[in-house]
Amino acid sequence: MRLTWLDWSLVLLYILAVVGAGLISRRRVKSISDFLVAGRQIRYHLGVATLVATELGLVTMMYFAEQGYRFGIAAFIIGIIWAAAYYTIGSTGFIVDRIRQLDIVTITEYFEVRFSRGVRVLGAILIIIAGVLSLGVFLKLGAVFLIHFMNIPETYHHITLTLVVSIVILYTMAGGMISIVLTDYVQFVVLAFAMVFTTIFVLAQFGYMDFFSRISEMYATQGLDPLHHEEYGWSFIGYWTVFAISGCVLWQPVTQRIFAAQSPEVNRFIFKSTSMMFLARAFFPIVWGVGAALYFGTGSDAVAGMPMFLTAILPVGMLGLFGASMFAAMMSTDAGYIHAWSTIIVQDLINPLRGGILSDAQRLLWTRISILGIGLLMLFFGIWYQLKDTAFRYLLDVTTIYYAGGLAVLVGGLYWKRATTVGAYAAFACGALLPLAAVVEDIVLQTQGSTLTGYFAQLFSPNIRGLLSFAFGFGGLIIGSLVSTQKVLQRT
Amino acid sequence: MERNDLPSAKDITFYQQNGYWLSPKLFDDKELEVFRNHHAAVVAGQYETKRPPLNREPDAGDVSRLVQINNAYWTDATIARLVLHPTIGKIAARLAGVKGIRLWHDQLLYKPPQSGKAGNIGWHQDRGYWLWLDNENALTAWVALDDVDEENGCMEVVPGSHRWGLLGEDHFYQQDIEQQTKRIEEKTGQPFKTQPCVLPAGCVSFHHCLTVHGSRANVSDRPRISIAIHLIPDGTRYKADAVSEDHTNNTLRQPNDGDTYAGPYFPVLFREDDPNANIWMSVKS
Repeated sequence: MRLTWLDWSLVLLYILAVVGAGLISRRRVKSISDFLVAGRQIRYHLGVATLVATELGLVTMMYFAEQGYRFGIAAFIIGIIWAAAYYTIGSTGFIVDRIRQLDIVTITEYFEVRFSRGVRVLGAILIIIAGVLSLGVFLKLGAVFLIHFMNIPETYHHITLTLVVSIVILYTMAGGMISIVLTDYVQFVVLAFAMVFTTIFVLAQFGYMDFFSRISEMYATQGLDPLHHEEYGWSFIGYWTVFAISGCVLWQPVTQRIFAAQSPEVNRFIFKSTSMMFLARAFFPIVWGVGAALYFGTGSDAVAGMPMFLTAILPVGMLGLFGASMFAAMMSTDAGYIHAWSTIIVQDLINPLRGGILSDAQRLLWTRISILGIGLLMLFFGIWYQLKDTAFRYLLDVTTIYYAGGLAVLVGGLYWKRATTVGAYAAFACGALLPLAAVVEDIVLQTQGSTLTGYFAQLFSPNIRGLLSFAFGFGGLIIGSLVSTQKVLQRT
Repeated sequence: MERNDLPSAKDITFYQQNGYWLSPKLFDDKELEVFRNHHAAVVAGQYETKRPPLNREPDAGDVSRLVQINNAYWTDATIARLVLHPTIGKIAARLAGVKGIRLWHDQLLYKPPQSGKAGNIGWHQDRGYWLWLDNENALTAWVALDDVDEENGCMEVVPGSHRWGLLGEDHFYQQDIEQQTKRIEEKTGQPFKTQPCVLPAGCVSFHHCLTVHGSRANVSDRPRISIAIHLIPDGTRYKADAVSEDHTNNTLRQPNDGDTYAGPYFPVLFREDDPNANIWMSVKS
């Protein structure tokens, strides 16, 4: 273990500061709007900070580092496309301008306004499935980081997971969106410093110029070339482009910030500014991952590679700063995500199913109960589920369950008058078909103790499966809408 | 990079009965020349990656006696490519009858010409140094980077000795190997007959962790250039109650009882259920 008293002090100080901020902000929660969308008062720079910080979690660092470790600098294509998607949305206002004008809290609320309550509930169910399935990996990767970075014994794995979830749940339940936004800002600053300085240390380890020549030595030319890489290539670029656009407009932790922004203009600014930071958030951890692979000379155990590498090369003090910022990244993102999914559960599932009669106090209570429930599910999934591919691929698969139909329903709803409720149902059902089948089959196989890859997972390559899912989503919407008529076209 | 020189069922039976197996040539002359150049650089203390090995004996520059460098693959990408070679992993997995193989550690070896007794490596069982491993399926791939024969002090094994159990004869640096031979014969009541592992450059010998082995002096004018790659089955765990001198590998992980030897310090060479686990699988020589 290389962490010294100085490093530990930095980590502990940070945890205390974050928990303190969460508790203080609790006093400011006066209404359900404060808890869910911070009173819709988020302005320019805080908006950028909170969006970047939430999308810059420990899980992001870990899966980008894993991609770098396994596939070389070619993995940077993920960041480039993601940044382009954010910039395009920010420049054009595509979708986000229209949805910000509606006084809603979740995208699924729009599905009810435009289509029907049933479509909203179906959308909510799919996003909750996608969200909770992805959260299991958040916890798993967080624990891998802590265990290897702090050299926690393997036997304490479950205890570590439980402790992490407990801290995150307490923190989220205490202050809701206000505490998340507040600590996001602090995290954004600390993290930015830590990421830049860590990268300097990583490049210095190999020599700035040697770094890239080493990559081609170890990964061959495809380590620098995403177009001809087995993992990426054109099919990935196609899939990931549609996926990234969906992420901007459908992913509740992101859209929650759209709804929290003061105006559509603020939204556009946030998206455009964030796009550049999305390049950085991919580049830095990918460099760390590549550095780890070069350092260890191996492609195995990719998830553990980055934390073990940084523990070996970072100097005293820098280790503490890095550890603290990563812990903060984990807290902020996990809390932000748990908060986002619990909001959906209450707003789009419990409240509509109970006839929309829940009072603010009841909604607040149900949101907190949901936070606890999600935390427990996270813990169960984090301990029990074993990843068969990279964490990034898994997250892509589970999120496509919702995105594939969701994008079609949202775009169709906003821009195609002919879109109908039947079309929306068909879009969700068709879009979710392939990824849901692959994920459910895998869970069933694992419950039976099998480590085999399932039939649906092998039916198509992951990129083609993703592309087909989006095509099925849009196909479902078009065909479903053409064969039916909408009695009430628009209720707003 | 992948080859088809995998052991047949007959070869596996031979390994199970004798505790060793000699492979055909796995590396061509062009590859061997590159490996030898990098081997020489590491022996001279020139570390391409700027990362030192886990430890070395004696210090860089001293080649008057046997040079032994542990985890040399950290210091040089070409040596890493050799040590983590998927074919070596695949062969080891077949011989050991397991689904995956990880590196325990490597040992880059240089036996100087005309070494005298200082070039002797006493009879020993690798298992004697690895008592924390929770199974006895570990094995070693010993790669000849140049022609190796009795003249330059090739490795010798005692066929079938892996079935004798642990003898407590762990004397790697023992130079009086004749005296040791007598002691082992008395201990086991078995004749101590060694088999020299004469290997043309590019061939690899594999031996079980309980197989008694050692080597004699290099009486030729050629150095003996080789790398021993110590391997463990994927999933091997740390057994805390072993009574033995600690192994430097345990400083890498600081394991607790029952912890698996996993992670990047013990990289995967081959895993049946994950063909992409080893990055060198997809990299051309």
